[in-house]
Amino acid sequence: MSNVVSGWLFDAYPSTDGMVVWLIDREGRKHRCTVPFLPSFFLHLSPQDMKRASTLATRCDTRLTVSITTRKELYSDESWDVLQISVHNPTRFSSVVRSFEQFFPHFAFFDSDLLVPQLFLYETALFPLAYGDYEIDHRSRLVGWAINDHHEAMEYEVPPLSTLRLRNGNNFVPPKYRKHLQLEVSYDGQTYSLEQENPRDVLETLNWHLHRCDPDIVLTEYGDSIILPHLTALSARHNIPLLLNRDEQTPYFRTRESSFFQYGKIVHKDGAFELAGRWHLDEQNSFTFGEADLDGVFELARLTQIPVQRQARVSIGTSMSSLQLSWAHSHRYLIPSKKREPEDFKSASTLLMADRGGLIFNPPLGYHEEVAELDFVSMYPTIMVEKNVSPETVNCRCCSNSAVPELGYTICERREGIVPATLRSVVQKRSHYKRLKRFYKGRDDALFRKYDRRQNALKWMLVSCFGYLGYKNARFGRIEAHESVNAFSRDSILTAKEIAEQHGFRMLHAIIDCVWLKKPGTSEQEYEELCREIAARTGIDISLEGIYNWILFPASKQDPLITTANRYAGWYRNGDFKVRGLETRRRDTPPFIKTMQRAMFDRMAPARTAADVETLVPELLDIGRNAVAMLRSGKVNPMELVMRRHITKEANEYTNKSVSAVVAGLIEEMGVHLAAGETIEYILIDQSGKKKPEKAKPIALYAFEDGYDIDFYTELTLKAIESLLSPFGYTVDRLKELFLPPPLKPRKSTRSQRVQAKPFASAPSPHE
Amino acid sequence: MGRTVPTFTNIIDSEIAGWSKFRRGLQLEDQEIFDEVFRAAKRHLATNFYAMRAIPFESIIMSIIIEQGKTIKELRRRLVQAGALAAPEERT
Amino acid sequence: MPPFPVQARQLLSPAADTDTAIIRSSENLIHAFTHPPGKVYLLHGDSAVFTLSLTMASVALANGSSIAVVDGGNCFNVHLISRFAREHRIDPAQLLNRIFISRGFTCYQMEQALTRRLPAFLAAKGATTAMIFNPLETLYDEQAPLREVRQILRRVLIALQEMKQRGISVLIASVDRTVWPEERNGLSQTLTSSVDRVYRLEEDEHHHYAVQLEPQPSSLLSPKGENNHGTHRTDVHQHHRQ
Repeated sequence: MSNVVSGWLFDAYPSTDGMVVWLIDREGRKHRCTVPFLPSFFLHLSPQDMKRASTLATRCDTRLTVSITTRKELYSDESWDVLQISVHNPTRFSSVVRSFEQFFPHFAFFDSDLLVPQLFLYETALFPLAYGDYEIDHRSRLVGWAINDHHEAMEYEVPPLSTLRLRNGNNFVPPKYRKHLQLEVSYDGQTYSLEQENPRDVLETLNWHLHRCDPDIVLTEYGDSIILPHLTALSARHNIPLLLNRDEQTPYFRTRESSFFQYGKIVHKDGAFELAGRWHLDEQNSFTFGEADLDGVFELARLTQIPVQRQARVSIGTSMSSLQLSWAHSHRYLIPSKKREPEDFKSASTLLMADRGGLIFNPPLGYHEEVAELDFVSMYPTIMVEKNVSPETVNCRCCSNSAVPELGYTICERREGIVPATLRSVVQKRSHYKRLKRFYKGRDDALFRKYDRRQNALKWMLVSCFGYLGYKNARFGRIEAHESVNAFSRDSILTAKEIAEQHGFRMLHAIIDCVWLKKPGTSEQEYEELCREIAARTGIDISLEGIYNWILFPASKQDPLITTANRYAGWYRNGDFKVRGLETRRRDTPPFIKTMQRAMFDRMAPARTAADVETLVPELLDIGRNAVAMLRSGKVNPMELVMRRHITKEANEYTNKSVSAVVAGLIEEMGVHLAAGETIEYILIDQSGKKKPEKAKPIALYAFEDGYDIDFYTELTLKAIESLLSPFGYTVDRLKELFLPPPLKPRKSTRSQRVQAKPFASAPSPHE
Repeated sequence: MGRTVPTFTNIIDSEIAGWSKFRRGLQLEDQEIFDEVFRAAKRHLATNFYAMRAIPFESIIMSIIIEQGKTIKELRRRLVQAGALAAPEERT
Repeated sequence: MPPFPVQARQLLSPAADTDTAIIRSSENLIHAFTHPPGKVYLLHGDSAVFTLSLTMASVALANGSSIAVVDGGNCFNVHLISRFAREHRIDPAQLLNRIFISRGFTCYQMEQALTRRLPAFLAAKGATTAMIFNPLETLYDEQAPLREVRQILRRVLIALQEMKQRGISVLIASVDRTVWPEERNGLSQTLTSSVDRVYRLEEDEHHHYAVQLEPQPSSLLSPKGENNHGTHRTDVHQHHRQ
């Protein structure tokens, strides 16, 4: 007798004879069931090697099924005969792959490095939070399902979910620096402090709460890096099993932390601690959660078919990749285990043309009025979708055209590429959510936030898809595709410029997908008409972001007479403020300086023209003067002067005595081990180290008596003022003259002084 | 993703470095003009980037000529305004 | 217009108006490299090896050859070639149109480039000169396991031997550096023992460079390549597209 559960897919993970699947119904009841599943990988080999592989399979200690089948290869679109190896125990999938890897080269393997839950979901076309009718038999086996939902759906319900928050109770010291756990558990509106002396009592109390609440979500801060590892270690030491997993037969899913080199700097990733039958989400270890909250995580988990716990932790590239893998799988394309397509040979002349990024036009220095900003909407994804740019479509073998501007590459006309095919729905969804967000703004706060979060999560995917196209590890990525997108991008901006100039506009600044135009007296409607014409010619939507009352393009820090790209600040006519690249916006600027600069910008809000701004200069100087005076009095709250930086090495790897080295060392001495790529926060006490050899102290060790390096922070403050006022002649040197007392100069006696000093000498001095 | 060809800012800086010995031998006021002249190339960043000529110095020279052309044009305009120079239509 | 004939000796005298490395005593290397064709040479030292390699390439280009470069470390400097063209009063496009680059950013890409793409490209163009920049760099990436990387190197070296038999001259330019992780130290020795000659580019205290021929350890790679598990290379490759 079967039972039908109407509900959502909550979790899926491998077990020894298939997959364990958890469902949640409309009343919030959980159902655990199993599904048989044989994950497979493919080998592309010569007939002899296929025989060898079959023999190998019979000797494997895990039960395997071997068969010959056909699949397609993406670049050639040809059908290949391949050996399919199905593993009867999904938990042994990767070890079976590894054992075969001892005998066959990497390029023979396909679908072999995917995670089993992923393979399951691609195979069944199910997805996390899929709503439908699930049929479960009396042995708790999932025997069928009817899904009234689609992973690309724009409207969907989420199940009722209960949450238990777990955090470290001590608020004053950042979690990584604390030695002892003081837990705080919150659910159903109540918070409980676990202050027992005895660790056994802590564990048992925690278990009691877990049992009582039976949360679907365990939400932590630093759960991956600190709390859960610590708790499980305690649990092992005192032999008290924790009730974290709903599925007590299944172990936790853990991965290690790592530091690695990427794009010129060291990046650090925390390890992961995932539960079975329950979600552990760590607010501190989730980019998506931080950007778009649970709504964003759900949106992406459904779309990418990555289970929620993992989705909360993966990088955007992985999400992008999953969309492609799913598409490839359902279209019966082989998924290579590694990216191995090298660049096609190109002449050095072509390399010069092709190896360029988007277009950047440097702006004119100073304050400008009546400037409009026009932004292409999702330029790069749109180019990929509209122009069919994909690894297998660029320079295909079947077509010959010169579709790509400047480079003359061919774009396939016969088939749609995997990249446009998977991006199209993402672009559409995001537009849809943005429209809904705008509609509900001011009308319904909850709905506004929901759609805003969803579109934000998708935004990050779109933002990354271009980089992913060229990424060396992206399975489906190719430099030529990346170059083609850049070529279309440059062409679009130049077309926009030409159209604008034909209509009498002047282009002040352009970066990749935004242009700043000026033609005094132009109305919003006229700009919108211009947008329509540009969109028609380029095939990419462009919208008016706003018209500035005034916009500042500040001088470069290296050279006061030129500007750099992507640094500007200004007030729109509609009252919004926008700033890029300046101190107010930068993450490494201390709050004190951010506040000061922001105060100056606020003071400039009412100005309508550059001349108006100039009349405000005395007041702006006052703001600056007061800030500097406060600094020099020593009375600024040091917490406002915290500097943030990434460390590039571990504490013991530094050979110099730079500030980063000193601070990392102090933190290490505290017993906190920071890996390369992590952030340090400190207050600078003495940059030279002459008066105070420790130079700087991390927040955790800082005491108010330590003071701060007045000269260093003054310099930073003056630079922030200079950014705004240099067009009026106020350089750091000039500001020093105005704000600081002149340095005391030792009095040198001159010749005339010496002479005057001896008015009554009878004989001429020998010095004359 | 590896960029192989350096950005044009890097190329300009590289050229400037290559001319450093020459610059050293100039008078102070000439050095200022030298700096200003290369600054012109940086202002024209996109144009240079776009041309991507095999020999970058050619692009740099063109930018400098354009900047100087602008200055000459402006000077001429002011002189005409001040009456010190005949307007273009009046000249034969 | 016939390409401007350029003498090797001429180009290697110190350039009067540039600060590039002053290179002398490379005549041996340049001459031996192409006479007769069909060899694999290794040039190692600091990053000036690429300057020398590209200068050699420029000479060959100016004399009408086409060259294919596989770049494993993003070291290709286009402007070196255009500067050479300018100094010798040649239209840069003439040289830049005849040198071809494929960049590999992972060891898997490098393998595909060297074992499949390079031989096919040289055959299609009728070219007999190839250069490989920093072939080991991508093999040091820890994301690829050592066992796999060793096999990749083995397959690459076999491919180089095959190209050599077909009359291709291959110059490998490699920057000396401390290998990290340490366990990958052996890769460099494997490479060194498989080539025909090893040259070292050294800078002396006067900032002059000189090229020295180095004695080699005895070759570990038998002429036919080893037959081992996982290296039924020809069988497996048959089915891969060119």
